[in-house]
Amino acid sequence: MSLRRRFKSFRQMRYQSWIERRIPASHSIVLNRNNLFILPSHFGFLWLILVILLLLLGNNYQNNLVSLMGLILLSIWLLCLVLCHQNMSGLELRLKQHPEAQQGLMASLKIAIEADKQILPIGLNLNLPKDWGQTNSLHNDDELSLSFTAGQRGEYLLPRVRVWSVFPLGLFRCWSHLNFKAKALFYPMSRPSRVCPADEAQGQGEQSLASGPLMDEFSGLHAYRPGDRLSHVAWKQFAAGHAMQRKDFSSRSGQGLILSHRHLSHLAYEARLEVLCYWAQRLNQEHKPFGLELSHQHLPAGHGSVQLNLALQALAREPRR
Amino acid sequence: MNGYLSASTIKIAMACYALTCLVLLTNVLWLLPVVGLLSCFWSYMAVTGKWSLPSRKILRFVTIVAAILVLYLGRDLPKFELFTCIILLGYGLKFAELKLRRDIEALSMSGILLAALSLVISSQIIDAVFALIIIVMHLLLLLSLDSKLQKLRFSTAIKPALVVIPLSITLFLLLPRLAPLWKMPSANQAQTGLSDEVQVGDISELIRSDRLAFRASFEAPQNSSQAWYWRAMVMDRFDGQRWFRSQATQLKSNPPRGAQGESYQEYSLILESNSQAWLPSLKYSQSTDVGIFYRADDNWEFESPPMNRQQKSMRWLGSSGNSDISESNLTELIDLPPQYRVELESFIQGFRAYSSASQQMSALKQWFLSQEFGYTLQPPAYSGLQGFLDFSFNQQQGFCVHYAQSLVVFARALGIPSRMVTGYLGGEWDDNGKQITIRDFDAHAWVEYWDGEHWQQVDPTAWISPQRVALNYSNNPDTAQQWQQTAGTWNRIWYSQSLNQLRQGLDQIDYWWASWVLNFDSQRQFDFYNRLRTLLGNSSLIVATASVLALGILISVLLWMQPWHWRPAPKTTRELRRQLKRVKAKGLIRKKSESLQDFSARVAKQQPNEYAQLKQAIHKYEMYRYSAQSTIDNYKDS
Repeated sequence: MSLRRRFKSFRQMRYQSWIERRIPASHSIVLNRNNLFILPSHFGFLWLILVILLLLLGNNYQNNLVSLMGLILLSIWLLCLVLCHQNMSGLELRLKQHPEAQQGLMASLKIAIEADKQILPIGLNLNLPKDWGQTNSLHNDDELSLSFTAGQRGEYLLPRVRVWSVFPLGLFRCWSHLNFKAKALFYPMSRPSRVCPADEAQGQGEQSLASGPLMDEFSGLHAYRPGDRLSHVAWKQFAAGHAMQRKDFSSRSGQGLILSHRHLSHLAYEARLEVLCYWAQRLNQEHKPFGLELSHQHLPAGHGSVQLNLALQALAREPRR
Repeated sequence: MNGYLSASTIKIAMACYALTCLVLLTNVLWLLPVVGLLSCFWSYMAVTGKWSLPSRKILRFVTIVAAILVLYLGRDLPKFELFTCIILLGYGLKFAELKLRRDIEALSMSGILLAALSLVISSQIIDAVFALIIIVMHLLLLLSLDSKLQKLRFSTAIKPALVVIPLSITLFLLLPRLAPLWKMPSANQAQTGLSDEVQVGDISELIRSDRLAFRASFEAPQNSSQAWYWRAMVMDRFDGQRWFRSQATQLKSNPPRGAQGESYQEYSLILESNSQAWLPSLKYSQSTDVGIFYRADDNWEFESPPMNRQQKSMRWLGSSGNSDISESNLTELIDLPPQYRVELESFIQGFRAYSSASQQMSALKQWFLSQEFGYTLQPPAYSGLQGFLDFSFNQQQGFCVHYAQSLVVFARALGIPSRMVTGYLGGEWDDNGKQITIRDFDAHAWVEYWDGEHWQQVDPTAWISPQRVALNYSNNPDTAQQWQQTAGTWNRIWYSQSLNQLRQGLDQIDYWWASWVLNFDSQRQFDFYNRLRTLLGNSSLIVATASVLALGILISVLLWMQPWHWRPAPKTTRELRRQLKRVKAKGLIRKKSESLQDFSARVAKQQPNEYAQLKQAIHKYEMYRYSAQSTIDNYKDS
């Protein structure tokens, strides 16, 4: 490692430990003098050069008006220092939710802004690894959001977020490096497959040894809700003049299905997770209870969006091979 | 906020460009607005989605071609104007690559710089107003990058503006006034004014112009009905066609001396920038100001032509002053081209009988009065010897330069040392009689001859048209009609009697502007601080400076905080706060999300003896805050 790089990493380390002490990680933070930094932007420095140029021009032509103009620009510059800081200070930023997305899609980091004044535009940046992508941040009244993608699935602790604003004229940049302790979850892509790689759940923690895909049984008709799969609509009844109804299926036991990677041994490991991901989402859509069995984790059967989230988290967290 | 530019931003940028171009239009090449308009048009098509912006390659090519064209077309322009042209070119071409935030930033920097350059070219109040508008437009342009201008309320924008004003004025008072650090190329093209050569007919050109030449202000009211002759130059050489200055007249000389015990008048001159060195003054004036010197022909001159308005204080000695002239110069002042002498010999014979120069001159005056000379602003072109004879003996229609030329030639033919003086006659006094405004159309020429001891001033125009001497062209019944024919419609309206009041008011403002803003030089700054120091009880300069700075900052902060908008909280609110503080001291802190009722219930449970007072305060507060009566009051307050 060259000396320069070593120095750079040393400086980075020093900075990290300093900023950890100065702005401790927290889900919500109030911006104030202690955690805001402000410096002239590039344009701010150029502006100062323009001021100097005008003062020189005014002096050399002995033209007071040009000097006065330079001084007005200088006053504007000074005023912007105050305005830019004032725009940011007093804001309370709160992490709205941990960003989550399928790998390859955009996860969005959403931060709520609470302020007792009209806030003017604020930007958000993440210092992300190179193979990750991020869009420009969006600032809607009381929400800041930023979308980004990850290179690989997994659960990541997001680095410090840079919140910044150049508001009045772009002369100053007021910023803060905040750690919201946000975790980004990128679960595997879903890979459709026709066969459900699941075992029937049997009691607590037990699982049947009978392997192979299981077919579901018809369990009755229920009122149709918008969003239900059209293939499950009881068209025959509908045609007979009844209201729209939905055919429900249940697995043979009420315990639900345990999706297992072992049924997919013909696929690569990542591909197996992708298939499991597809089925977890599909079963959830079909309102069926399901569980998950992975090489390192085990999720007992359950249903609802909480269960889906747990399943997706488990899939994302599964160590890579 | 960091993406592409919005269409409204680009439209504002175009408005900025249009205004900047308009202000500089008379000073730049015609090519530049054309290039700018094309560039804007392209940008507009790109915004509406019809075209895409030109590629880098095309843009670079166009830039180089346009730059070469500008350099070629502007090869005769002064360096300063060329520099302005180049910046304006860059400003215009920037529209063709308007994409990112930094493009707008570059655009606004060049716009503001151009506004400053326009002020170097001309610094009248109107120019300052335009420059200010340009700056504000560019600030709005920058602001539009981050926020929607439609949402911006005037009241929120006015507050920062209020803070900037006292701050910049303070800095202006504090800024050290240094001498120019290095010489800059001249900003002004030579503008018309009196020139250092006179040909008959020249001054009639000037009479069409109402450009402000200079102003003078006196300490005491002056007699405005008197004829005021402002000397600028002396033409003592005549080659048969034109009059010009000899080297001898341009030498430095000792300023005039006043006679012991004679009174004098202080006056100050405010000269417009015209890039000429002469300084109009009353005959026999002294001055101790730097940068000007006295010449052998009794005029004052700048050491180098000034580039902007100048203010000089003078002391008028009146006729009591005196100056030296050497004998050798006198012999040059009877010089005439030989043909003139030959042609005039017979005419001159009759005047030789008089013994002294002054008698000969009064005889010449009688001759002038006996002839049918007429005053006209549109005389035929009298050129050369033939023209001279034609004017003097046949047509006899002309104006000041014609008479002055005839008289000097006659006097020289008689052997009287004489010379033509150009300058200004009269001007417009303000109501107090303290300040006079002299414009180009007040230009005049008259004669001086040497009577053996002194220079005597004679004005042949006064013999022929006494009205011209008493009143200025526009108000003179003799010349008004002629002046109206030559002057433009606007001038005719503007210089009419009925607008006198308005004109004088504007002149007063312009005078104030010149003396307090444009000429707030080191001398004035020094005076200002001296006055301030005596005001502060003879304090040191540091204290005076610090107090100016402190005052400026104080005013800015006050304007920012606006304490006159503060209102004390109502009594019930203050009482509630006091109670909450008291309870807090006992260890009961109201949580952020806890309502007053919940908190009081908690207090009742934990500290029952503190409860009664708190309860009462809360009740009163709520009564005040939410009862029907108070709601009306609240509306009134807000």
